[in-house]
Amino acid sequence: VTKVSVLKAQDIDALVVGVELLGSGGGGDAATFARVLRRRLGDGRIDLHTPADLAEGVVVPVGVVGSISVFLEKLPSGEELAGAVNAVCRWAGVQATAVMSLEAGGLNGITGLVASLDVGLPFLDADLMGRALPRLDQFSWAVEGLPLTPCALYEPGGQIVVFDSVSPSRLERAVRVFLSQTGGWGALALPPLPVPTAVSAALTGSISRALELGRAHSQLGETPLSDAVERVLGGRVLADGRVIEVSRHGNAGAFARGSTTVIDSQSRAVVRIETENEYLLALVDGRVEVSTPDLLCLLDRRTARPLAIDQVRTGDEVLVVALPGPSWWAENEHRLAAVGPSSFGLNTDAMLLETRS
Amino acid sequence: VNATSGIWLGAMISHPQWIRVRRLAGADQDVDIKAANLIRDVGSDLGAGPGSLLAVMYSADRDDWRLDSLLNRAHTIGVAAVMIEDESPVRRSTHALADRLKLPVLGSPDIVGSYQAVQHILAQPRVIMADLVLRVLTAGRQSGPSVDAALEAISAALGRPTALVDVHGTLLGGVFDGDVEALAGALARESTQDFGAREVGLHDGVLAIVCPVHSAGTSAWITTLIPRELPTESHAIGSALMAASAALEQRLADARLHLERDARQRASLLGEIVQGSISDASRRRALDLGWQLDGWHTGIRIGVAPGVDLAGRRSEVVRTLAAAGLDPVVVEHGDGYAAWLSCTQEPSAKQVQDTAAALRSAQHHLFTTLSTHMGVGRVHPGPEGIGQSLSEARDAAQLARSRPESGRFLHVDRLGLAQLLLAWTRTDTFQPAAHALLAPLQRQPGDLINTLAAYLDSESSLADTAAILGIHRNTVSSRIARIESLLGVDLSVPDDRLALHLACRTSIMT
Repeated sequence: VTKVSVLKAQDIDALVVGVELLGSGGGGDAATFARVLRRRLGDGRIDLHTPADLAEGVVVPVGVVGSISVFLEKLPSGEELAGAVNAVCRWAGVQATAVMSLEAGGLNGITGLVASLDVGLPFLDADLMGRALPRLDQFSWAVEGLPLTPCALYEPGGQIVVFDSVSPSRLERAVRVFLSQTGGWGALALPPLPVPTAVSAALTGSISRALELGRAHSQLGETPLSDAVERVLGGRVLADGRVIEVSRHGNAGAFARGSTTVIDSQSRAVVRIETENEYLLALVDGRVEVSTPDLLCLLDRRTARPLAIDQVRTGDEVLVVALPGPSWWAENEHRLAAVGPSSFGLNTDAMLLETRS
Repeated sequence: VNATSGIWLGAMISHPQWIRVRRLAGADQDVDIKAANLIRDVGSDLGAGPGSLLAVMYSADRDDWRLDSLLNRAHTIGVAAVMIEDESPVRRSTHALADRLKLPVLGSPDIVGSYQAVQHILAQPRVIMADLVLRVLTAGRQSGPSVDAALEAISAALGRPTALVDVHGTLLGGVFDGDVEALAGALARESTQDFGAREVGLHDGVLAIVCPVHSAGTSAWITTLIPRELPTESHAIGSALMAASAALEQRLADARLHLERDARQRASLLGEIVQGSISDASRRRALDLGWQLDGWHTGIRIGVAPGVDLAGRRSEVVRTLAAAGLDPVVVEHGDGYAAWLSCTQEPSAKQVQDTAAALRSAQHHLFTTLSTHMGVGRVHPGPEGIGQSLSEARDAAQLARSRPESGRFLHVDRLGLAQLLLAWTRTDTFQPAAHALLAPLQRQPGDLINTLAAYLDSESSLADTAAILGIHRNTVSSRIARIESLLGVDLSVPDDRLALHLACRTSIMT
């Protein structure tokens, strides 16, 4: 008998912290959308199914793409997630029997669960990123050569677009262009695939990991010490100190590049974190110490809450924490190249916690 | 110069060829630069060794995280300093990192030029010396005839402020923005007899390169200030200063020639004026020199110690008088200077007094440098008045010379005339005569000399004398009688009375 994890209303707070940690400073505001999940869930429960539970089924990955800030301003109508799933199934001519998340980090760590309630289908505990990543061509399916099309995009104005026979990098551009001309964000549903095929190139147990991380985090309490943070979250504290500089400069590609610098109050080490939509690279005294796909998180020194990139201000007291990223990405050079620093235009090799120790 | 010895970064920062290089971050501490390496950009392989200056050609982007990474790499292999493109400030993170690594980060708008300057200094000290000497020689040849013009051109050629100072460190020309006292102290230990330039340390690593300059028997120093020693540069400047000193000596000799010629002209014209035979041609020459012959004149005689270079020091005298608010004609004359002030109206007593006060203060200053004594004549009108007043001034000056208590200054006004007379009575011939005259009164009972003096002072009045001395009238009368009998004189004879009066004054005052 396979043990089925269960998510109830009381788990939502931990889940939010978990997906924020997996968000690595990006991935959107999970806390706001968590209210939608709380309301939709009520006293009910969501089973977090393993692939084995749903081995015969057909699964659709679903989530939100586009501008995170606009998502808060232009609120969802509630139709988008289900609308996208239905549209892609209609186009593919396949009936889905389960849904899964597009990405586990940030907002989309919650949207997959809401979609499962909206369409009334079981939730497969898996996603295509294992953390937050900014681009559609960084979905594990795309990296492993599975098609991302046909896929359906449902924007909050009610318009539905179905893309088919489009390569991942072109899909990325097409979706961005469409969204920039419409509501700024939309619900995206990828093609329905048989569960074994889907999970052959997906990261499983992602939402469970978020939940575990969040539950562990809840033990930290106020103003935790560095070694407690390392022990409880299973990572490494790079700095415990004050933010001396937050800068946003120029566009490296589609997204604004920036950097955040923290001086460790004890060692006086200068820890600089290069940012795009997520924290990408940490330099300690100018030496590259940790990079994507490992997770970099800035925690509020007092509450230990993860701080998103746009929440950090000069003068904040923070902990800079590196957590191991999804091991799936580090399994071979090909995957690492797709999400390592060079995929963001940062000209350095990936530096991971495991590989270094 | 040892080509393998390094350059201190602090010295290089103040070098003229690094004028636009700025310290952007990193410790203020100094580092020794032993080599220089030029790399393409912040991502390039360093190819540098310990102690080198790492110049990064394309490194203007202050946001690039690879700049921080470069600092780390440079620090790891012991690079002395990193130079990046343009002078804009670096991000705080880079600043904090450079401070932490104690790695100076410099900004230069011309990376290649700044790099080459270091390379030259490190590798080709002889070339730099030859280049500098040649530039100073050219500057010396091409600049104007004055010492100041030459100094300015030499400063420009050296890229360092350069000055001419006398042996006491007093600025004679050019620019010296260092510690004058430290320079004076350092120069006091150097001999101008030794040919050639030398380095003298002033304070806090500031260095003056000095080279003697000789002219008409006096010596001065040409001095170039270097904020921090850079051996290659200071050696080159030393050689260049030898070339500069030759250029200055030539100009000083020229200036001297003009000075002597002018002095001779003035002296001959003054001779004519004093003799009272002023030709039309002389009037014309006086006009050319700006001398006012008509009006009222006050003659001033400034005597100096023997051996003073009259022509050479004239400007100093003029300067000192000007500082006291006076603008007299000053002419080298005999063993000093003849000078006079002219005005169109007869000056009031107050004006005369003010002028005398100003001259007295000028004398006070001149005495400290030239050991002068000064006599001032009365105001006389017309061209011949110049000669008259000067003649009085000359007599007064002669007296002033032996009178340190009056500041070696004497003004022939009314009071002055009396002093003149009295002073005359104190000559070597009169004093013994006075004592001899009064000798019979010495050692007699009843204070006869003071009684006689009081009697003569009070116009031969017995009553007044008694009141002055506080004795009875009859006592005075009997003393006078005794005096007349002891001296064998008749006090009603004016000549006897005058002689005795003068003798009393002399006797009482000595």
